[in-house]
Amino acid sequence: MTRIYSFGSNGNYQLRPLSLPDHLKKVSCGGNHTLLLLGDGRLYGCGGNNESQLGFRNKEEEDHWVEWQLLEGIYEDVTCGWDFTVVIDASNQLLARGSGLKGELGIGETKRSSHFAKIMDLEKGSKLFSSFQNCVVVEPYGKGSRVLGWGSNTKCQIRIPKCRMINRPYVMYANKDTLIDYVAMGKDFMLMVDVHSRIVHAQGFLPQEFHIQEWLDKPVQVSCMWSSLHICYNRTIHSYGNNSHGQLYTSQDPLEVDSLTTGSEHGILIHNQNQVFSWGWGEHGNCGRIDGRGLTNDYSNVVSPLNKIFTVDPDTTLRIYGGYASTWIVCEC
Amino acid sequence: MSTYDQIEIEDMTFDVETRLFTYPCPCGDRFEVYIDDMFDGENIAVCPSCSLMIEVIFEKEDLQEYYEEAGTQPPEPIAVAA
Repeated sequence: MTRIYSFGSNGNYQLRPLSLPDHLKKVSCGGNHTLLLLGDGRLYGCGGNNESQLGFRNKEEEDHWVEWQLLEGIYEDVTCGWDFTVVIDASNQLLARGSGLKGELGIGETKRSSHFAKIMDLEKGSKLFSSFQNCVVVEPYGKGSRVLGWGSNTKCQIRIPKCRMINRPYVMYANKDTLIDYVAMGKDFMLMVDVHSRIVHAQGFLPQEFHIQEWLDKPVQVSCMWSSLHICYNRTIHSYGNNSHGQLYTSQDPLEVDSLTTGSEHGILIHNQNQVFSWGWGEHGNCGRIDGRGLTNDYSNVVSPLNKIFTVDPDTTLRIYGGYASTWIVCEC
Repeated sequence: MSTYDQIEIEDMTFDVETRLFTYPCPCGDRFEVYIDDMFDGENIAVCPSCSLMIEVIFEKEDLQEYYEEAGTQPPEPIAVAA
């Protein structure tokens, strides 16, 4: 049984609770829409649909999907940006829909598509990652990977020199011997991490205090908020970047961190396999309720200290996902 | 007044009909500021849905091309630096 909990910004019906008998593979959050990829390839969506980022919108009433709806088709992977959605379908076609004024659809000059438009064919086993204005695909390449990116390039996040946008997939990285596991993406930068949990490449306008040389040989987990990057190493978190709203991790008592993820400007971690903590910009309740405060939002949570938000039984498997001022907790038992 | 982030004008989206510069806010809404207010010296864009604000990095002469894009002229001519 899979139970999905969410809290935080819900102005466009992007947070819906759900219980499923099936395995959930992934939660992906856009600016105001959410997609759930099930283990069997079915894709459920809810939230904002004003740009047809979920399904064809032919009248105003279809600006929102107020309940989970099944998308047509079977999919291998999905990722959401601001108001666009990119998928890999069962035939390993890379497809995009919605709006991408900075080339986020990856289909050339076309900036809007009300249906899934084909970008390219991919090798089997490719994976998708995104920030709100960029998208990358990690594709098998020899015994390693190549990484293709597109979208905004004003901070050289895709390639040097900078330009306003890159509207078709551009090969950012290719190495036949290095297998990339995932790409952690901030607003203006990204880091590639291999299957041995090593950072192998970083690109774009990185936080000044971050020096990749210090991390190249260390096994880490990396996750990025829009304007900061966070590295879990030896079960603690090292943060770099914007700290305007408490985004950089600090802990009064050393907390052993099992895993880490991030939303747009808040962090979420699992401790002791069964406890979820959150910190950072929590104005929409996405870092939980602060102890001693009532249900009314008195703005005491705008900058949230590390806050315990959820505990489950030891026999429940926990996974965490971050959205745009939203927190998602998936429990499987 | 403390802002959450600094954003360059070239990264913002300009809508010729509403005459607003906008940029995504991490809450899901968009920061916004009117071009005429920027002409008058405003450099803060606010989000209608939360307390976050951004500082827009621009020079007054940057606005000329956006006025032209909107098919209008600035309230008064912009002196271009020599």
